[in-house]
This record gives sequence, C-alpha cells and structure tokens, in this order.
Amino acid sequence: MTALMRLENVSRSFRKGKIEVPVLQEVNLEVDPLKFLCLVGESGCGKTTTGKILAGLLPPSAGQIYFQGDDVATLSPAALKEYRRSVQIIHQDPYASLNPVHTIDQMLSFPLLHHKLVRNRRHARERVAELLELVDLTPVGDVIDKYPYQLSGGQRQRVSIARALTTNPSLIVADESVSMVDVSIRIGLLQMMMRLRDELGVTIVFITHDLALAKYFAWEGQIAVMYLGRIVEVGPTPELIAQPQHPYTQVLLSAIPEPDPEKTRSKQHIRLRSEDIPKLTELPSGCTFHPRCPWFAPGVCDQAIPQLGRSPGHQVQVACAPLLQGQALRRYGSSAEEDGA
Amino acid sequence: MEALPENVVLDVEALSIIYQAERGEVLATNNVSFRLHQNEALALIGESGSGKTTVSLSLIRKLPRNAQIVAGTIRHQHQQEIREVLQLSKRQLRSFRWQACAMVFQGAQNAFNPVLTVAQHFEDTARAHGWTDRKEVRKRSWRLLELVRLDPERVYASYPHELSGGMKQRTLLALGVLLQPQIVILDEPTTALDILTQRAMIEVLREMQRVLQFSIIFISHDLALAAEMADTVATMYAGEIVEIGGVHELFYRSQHPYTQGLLASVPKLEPGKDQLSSIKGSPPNLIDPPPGCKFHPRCAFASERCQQDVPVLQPRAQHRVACWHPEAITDRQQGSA
Amino acid sequence: MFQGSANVASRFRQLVTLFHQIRANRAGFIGLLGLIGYFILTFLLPYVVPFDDQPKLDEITAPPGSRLQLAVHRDNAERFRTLEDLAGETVGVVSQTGGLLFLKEFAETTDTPPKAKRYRWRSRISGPGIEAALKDVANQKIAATLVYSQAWKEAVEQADDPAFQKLIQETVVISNPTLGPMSLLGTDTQGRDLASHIVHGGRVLILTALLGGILSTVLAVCLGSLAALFGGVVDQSLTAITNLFLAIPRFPLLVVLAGLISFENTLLLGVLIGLLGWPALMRAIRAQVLSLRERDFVEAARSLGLGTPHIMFREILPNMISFVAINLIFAITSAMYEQIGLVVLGLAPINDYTWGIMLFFGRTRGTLFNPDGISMALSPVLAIALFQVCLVLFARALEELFDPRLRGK
Repeated sequence: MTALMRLENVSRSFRKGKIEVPVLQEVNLEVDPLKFLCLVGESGCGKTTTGKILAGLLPPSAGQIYFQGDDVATLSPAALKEYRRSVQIIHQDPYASLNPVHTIDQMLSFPLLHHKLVRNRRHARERVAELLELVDLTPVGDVIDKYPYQLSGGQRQRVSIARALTTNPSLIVADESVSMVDVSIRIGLLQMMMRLRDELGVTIVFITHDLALAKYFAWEGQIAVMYLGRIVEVGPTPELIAQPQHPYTQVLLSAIPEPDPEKTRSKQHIRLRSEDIPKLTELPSGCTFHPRCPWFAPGVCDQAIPQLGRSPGHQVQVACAPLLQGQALRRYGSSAEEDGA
Repeated sequence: MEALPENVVLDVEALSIIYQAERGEVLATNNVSFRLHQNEALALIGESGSGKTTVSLSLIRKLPRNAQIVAGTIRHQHQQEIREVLQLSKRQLRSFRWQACAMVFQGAQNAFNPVLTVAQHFEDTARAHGWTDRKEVRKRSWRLLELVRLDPERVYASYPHELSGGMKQRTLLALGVLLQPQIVILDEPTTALDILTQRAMIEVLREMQRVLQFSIIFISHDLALAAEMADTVATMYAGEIVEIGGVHELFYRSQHPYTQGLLASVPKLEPGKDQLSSIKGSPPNLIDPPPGCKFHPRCAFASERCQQDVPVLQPRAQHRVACWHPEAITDRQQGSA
Repeated sequence: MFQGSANVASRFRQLVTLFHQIRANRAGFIGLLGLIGYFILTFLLPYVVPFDDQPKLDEITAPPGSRLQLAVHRDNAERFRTLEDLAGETVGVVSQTGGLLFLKEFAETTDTPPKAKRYRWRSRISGPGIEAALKDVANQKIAATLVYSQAWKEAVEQADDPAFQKLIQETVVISNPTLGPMSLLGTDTQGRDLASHIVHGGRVLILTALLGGILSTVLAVCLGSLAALFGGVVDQSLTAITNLFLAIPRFPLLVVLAGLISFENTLLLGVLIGLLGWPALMRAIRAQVLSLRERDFVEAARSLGLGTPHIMFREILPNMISFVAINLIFAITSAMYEQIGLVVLGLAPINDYTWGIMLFFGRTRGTLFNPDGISMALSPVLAIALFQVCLVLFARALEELFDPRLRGK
C-alpha cells in the first residue's frame, strides 16, 4: 500500500532575528490512506508546523514530501495545484478561520467557482447546501446566508470543515480543530469527521495536545508523539496507549488527569527530573528529553540523537537509545535492583 | 442573621444575576445556592455561557458594570463572624478581596504589571493592606514561592517577562494567598497550560491547600480536573446549578442527564475503545431561554412537565439534583450497567 | 460575477439596509447629514447665491492705526439708516497690514428703521454738510473719512477748500454698500458679503482635499499591499522609499515645492499634496496586510488554491476596508489642512476664492487682533472645522458599517 503522504527527513527552521530556530527536525512520517493519524504533543513541539508542511502551506527547509508516491518538489505546476487542493487544513480557532466579511454561501462558493467545480452561481449554491448538510448544519436555510459571527463556535467549525470539503480533498489536516469547542459538542464534531472518512474517503490527520482525544479519534489508526520538533514515538493507537514505550509518552500519559475520581487519584505520576522545557535555540545534546527524563542513562542518551526504530517485541516505533538497544529503562540514579518502572 | 454551621466559610443563597445586553436581559445566573466548607475544594463545571464565571466574579463583587445582582445573599464566615459580602462597603471589600477571598484569574500573563518585579508585586500588595514590615513580607513571600515549587532567589527579583507561563501562573497563586485568604477562587486554573505544566500546577495546588488550609472554588470545563481536585462538584447549565454533590457521587451516581451527557462525552485514557456520545443540540440562548427545565430541548427524558415547570435542586441519594425524572435516569443507568 | 435583474434588486436592498445601518449610528448619521449639507452649501448654493466680489471700499492709504469716520450724504441717508446713525462716529481702523477694519457692521436697513440716535446726523451733516463733517474730521486729527458713494466723493473733490484736498486723498469710498441676500455673516474688510464667500469658497477647497486624500490613500493602499504581498526586494525598496519620505518633514517640503511650482489650478495643489501624503498610511497598510496575510482564513484560502488576486481583493481588502475608509477620511482632513496652511501662509495660488483665502485675507487684514473682525476670522474657520467634524463622525459610522461584527450588535 502506498502511503497517501510521506515525509522523509523533513526539517523546518524559522529565522528569528539572527538566530535559526529549528522547529522541526528530521521528521519521518507516513499517512496511510483512510487511516487516522494523530499528532500529539505539547505547545512548541512542532505538530502544527508538521500539519502546515503536510498541507503544502509551508515549504520544508530540508527533506522530501511525497504525495501518493510522487515527490512534491518534482511535480509539474498543474500537479502541484492538484496536490494543494487535495490536502486541506482546518484550523483551531473557528473565529479566526472564517473571513468575517463573507456569508457562508459566499465563502463556500469561492473555491467551487474558482476551480470550476460547478457550472454557475445557482449550481454553486446547491452544492454549498449539499456540503452543509454533509456536516450536519441543518436546516441549511438557517445557516447558508449568515455571517460567521452569527454562528456558534461548533457551527463555525462545521462550516470550516465544509469549506475544506469543497475541493474534494483526499487528506484533511485538522489542527486542534475541536479544542475551542464546548465539551458537549466536541464528540459530535469528531464523530462527524470520522463519518466523512467512510462517506467521502477522506483521510484525516488530527493534531491535538489532548492524548485522550487522540486515542478516541485514532483508535483504529496511529498516534505520533512529538517532542521539541521530533517524533519520539509513533505506532498503532491501542498499543501506544496501553504500553507506551518512550519515557516522554509515559510521562505524558501519567500526568493527564482522568475524568474518574478513583482512577485519577490513584494514578502513579512520574516525576520529571526538571520541569523546565529547553529552548528550541538551546537544545540539549543527544536525546532532547534527557535533561528531564527520569530514566536518563548517562553516556547513552546525551550522546547521539536517537532515530525512530522498532524496539524488540513492539509494534510502535520509538526514538530512545536504551530501548532500541534492547535495554530496560532504569531510573536515573537508581541501581538495577531498585528499578521498578 | 441566621447562623451558619461552624465549618461553612461561604454561603451563597438564591443568587440571581442579570446582564443588560444590547439585545435584551441575560439571566446569567439563576437561583444559585451552595455552601463552601473549610478546606473544601468545590468545582463549578459547565460549558461556556453556563454562568460559572459570573458566579465566581460575584463572590468577590467584580462583576462587570452591566451586571446586576437581582436576588440572593452571599455570606462569608470567618472566626464565627458572618459578613454579608453584598453589603460590604468599598473599603471592606478591598480587604475582603485579598484577606478573605482571593481570585486567581486565567491568563496569568496579563495579571502582572510588566514594569514591576515580582518582589514589588508582593510588597505592594502587602503594603496596600497595611503590612509594612518588608522583612516579614519577604519571608512569607519566599515561603509561598517555595511552596509553589519555584526558586524564590531567582523568581523574587525577576520581572514577569522573565518567567514562563507555568511559573507566572504559580507566582500568581503565591501572590493570591499572600494575605492568608480563607477562600481561593481559581478561574480555569490549568486551561492553556501544557500537560506537564498542568500536572505541576495541580500538585502545587494540593500541597498549598494542605499546608495553608484554605478552601478552593475552581471553575473549569475540564471534567478530568474536577475529578482529580474537587471534593464537591457542581454542574452548571444555562445559569443554574443542575446537580451538586460529592465528587464520587457526581461521577459515579450522577442523576442529571446533562452531567451524564458531559461524562459520556469525555474521552478517557484507559486502554480500550471509548464509547462516547455527545449531547445533541447546543446550549440555549440566555436572552430567551426555553421554559421549564432549560435542558429539556436537549434531553432524552424530557416530558411535558419538563417543558412547563422549572425543577429545583432536590436531595436525591447523597446529593442534590434539579430534574423531574431522576428515577428514569437511574433506571437507565442500572439497566446499562 | 453578478448577473441578472435579481442582483440589481438585491444590490438595491443592500443599499437600503446600508442606509438603515448608517442611521442606526446617531453620530455617524449626523456626520452624513452634515456632509450632505456641505454638498448643498458648496456645490448647489453657488448657482443661487451670486458671488459678491465687488470691493466696496477704496484702497486705503491712511497709515495703520488711523481711525476712520463716516460721512453720509443727505440724499442717500434715507436708504442707509444705520449709516446715518453712525455718521461722524469712528467706524473703522486701518489695520497693521493696511486693511480696513470695521468696528461697526454695515447693513441695509431700509425696511426697519433703527430707533437709535437719528438726530445726530441731522445736527452734524446738515446744510452744506460735507464741509462741516470733514472739518470735524480734520479737527479731531482723524486720518481718513469714509464716504459711502462715488458720487459723493466726486462732490467732495469739487470743493475748493484746499484744506480738504489732503483729506480727499485719504477718503475711502464705499461705492455700493448694498449687502448680499445672506448678510448674516457680515462683510469683509472691503465690504463684501462674507456669506457669499462661504458659499463660493468651499467647492475648490473640498475638491482639492478630496483629490489629495484619495490620491494619497490609493497610493498608500497599492504600494502597501504590493510591499506586503510580494515581500523581498519589492518590500525592501518600497519601505526604503517610504522611510525616506517619512524622514523629510512633509509640510516644509510642501512649502518649498509649492513655492517652486506656481500653480495655475488649485487642483494641482491637491495632486502635489496627494503625492506627498501616502508614506505614513502606506506603512500602516503594509503592516495590516502583513498581519492579515497570516490569518487563518487567508491560509485556508491559499490552501483552497484561490490565488493571489482573490486573496488580496476578496479576503484581505474587505477586512481592511474600514481601516482604509477611515484613513481616507483622515487623509482628506489633513490634505485640507495642508492646503489651508499653504494658503494662509500665502504660498498657494489665490486665483480661486476659498475658505483658506478668506482666512488669509482675514489674517492680513488684521482681524486676528480685533474682536470686531470676528466674523471674518471665524466664518471660514467654522466652515472648515465643521466640515472636518462631519467627516470624522461619518468615519465612525463607516467603521461600524464595514464590520459585520459591529453591525450585529
């Protein structure tokens, strides 16, 4: 099976004054068709940048991007346009992602008319109505001629999704798309997005900081955990959640409160060695997590940058030197006998 | 004045607040009553527009100008002395806000004056409340900063911009309890914080509460946070408390369809596939709320009675629920369990 | 894009709602009404109100500070009762700049005879009249005498008395003290109707200001969005030019240029003001486009492959339109002030009679130092200031109009 999209050693840095800030480093990622992928990480981990690179909105500083097996850099202008249209992005803030000066009808018609996907204005309006129905914005008549400010957050996010669907994309990058929506309607949005995959064959890459949400969304797909511009662990969701390998994933999972008083209060929290997140401009040597890692192995972790690989006996790929060498993790400063985690 | 049980620090009774909006009157808070006990952590959970922030602002009388408290009392009890918060004069209010009831807002970034050092913030606050001994202030500030797991030596002399978001949030917390309030109100204390920072914040809060012995009211839309931190949870919907009770009661034996709906829509981390469902519909327009139970247009159990009569909080099992059909809901729970 | 009559109808409906939206904002509506009023005043009224440009006074040769007395011929006294009343009194002063300042207002009062002091002229100017009056004048060492008609002046000239000859040379003649139909604002130093000047003095001034404002705004929007959208060398060079322009003090440069270039047409001054006025706004527009360019909805449009023209004109520009409109209005305001500044300093063409020139004459005729010249000094100032106030109020309404979020409330 060819991957729908593949990132190969993609790096991206931004210039901030005279300093290069490496936001993304040597990211390898495969997006399989019709499989959900979640990019998870804290702020500044590069997940949004990855999303923008996937959507073709940001050129990488280095590395290759393959779309349906073709290197994007070698595409003809026409094919490049086709690729751009095939990958759409849904932003986090439904208040910022819709132009306040257009009605819903207008903003959905623009791409339809521009790419001649419809014959005329009337046809465009019919198609817009269809799309709105697809994202459960019914009755359509209540919404179609409204301005974004007249809609609720959840409705706007649906409009945003409908707009992404105008160009019949094969991949949608949803960047924190439900984090600003109220809890009670979040799941409805996610379920609608999951339904779109079945009905329209759209693959969705979901970017979130919420592991529980990622778990729900990508249960049949994959989760990639990012830390400081690198993917530290990627694999099938059930396994990654049940048996997290990378220390960072473990710490994250242990830190998240659960909506269950008993469970959350009995949860073992893994203490970090340091709470300070390194600056992207002053990244530690070797594994960038090592100054905070409870299982820091001196001489191993702070030397070479670990690459993603399969640790023995696991499906998930992990970037952690001791694990890849088949060693058990050992608490920093503890002897072998004490080691329990 | 009616006496309060000794361990009650705050008693809110039938509080109703109206906002004058351009399009009409918004009943932001309707008939809200609850009691906060010593050392208790109360979580007000609800979605945006449920009135939880309005309630918290009214406790320290920081409501915006267009808000009006139309009914209700707020009483604060400290050392057997009861004060009517809504009757306090401006001067009394100033001391009340810091010495009895401190509020830590979300968005710690904006709470500090960027041209003053952390030390100046602490000293100014202390001086404003008649505490002039700088050495004493410094001693207490350092102790509090240590308590929030910050390095006082570094933090005390620095300017706000030199601190990270999580550090600012914790410094703000230390500043909030400088004058030993009995109540600390936290507005979305962990929203906008990263997971690991959030964890540190939760632990710091716990530790502080243990050492300093204050009561907490926190406002959040995050059920997991409530599960982790609260002793008592109150669910708010459309300006009303629809269910209130102990955290275990609410999470395991909830009897209000809205609380249940919220619980059913929160993804969990435990291994295994989640069966989640969302609450259909969207929150009501508070200018023209539905009659009867405000949740009825979204409720699967709604009957004719729900469309006409407003349910009030009634004791059910170990907690209180505002619903006409708790039996049906309990039955379904048992059926599905 | 828009076809059919249905669209015309919907456009019309939009216009109607537009009007209602403007009406909803009271201050803005007042501004709009004011602007309409100004349009009527300066563009329509000139067709009705004749321009009173006949000086009714001779050039004054008396030294500054001289006091002028009024002598009135008996034959005409019935027509100008006010003049009669004032006969023999000091009615004006020769100003520092050689202009004539009236201390009393002249008005045609045929229909309403004043009650005051009619006897005075009878006693003073009776019989041969003129001699006595002029003697009085001479005795009081008053430098000049004001007479109200040419015919009378000739009569004086014919008098043999050599003592009068000197006085005659210093006599100022009001050739026709008939005031215009709108005498509410009084006259200028030459006895001309100020109201007619206000009516006729606005058109060119406003047109020039509009031209300057629109030109500078268009330049600013074009250059600013070019710089922001293309970036790189285009941006750098445009920004460098802008900075250069910003570094030169604008008004002095304008003064120098206006001095170098002599304009036949005042409108050309507007072009010059426009050409110098864009840099500050260009920087602001550039910043706006730069920030709007990063907005999520622009990114979404890029992702949808809608192309740069669409992004500029359908996504970005509509979001700046209120900003542009408001700045357009401020550009018009400042273009007007600059033009007036030049005129008042005497550095601009004065072949078109404008409010600025009224101010210029007011200043040179010394009205600024004399409370009695208040009408001449204040009428153009008020006309200009009220116009600006209307513009600014209207700008506020525009702001609301273009922002659907504000509209909704």
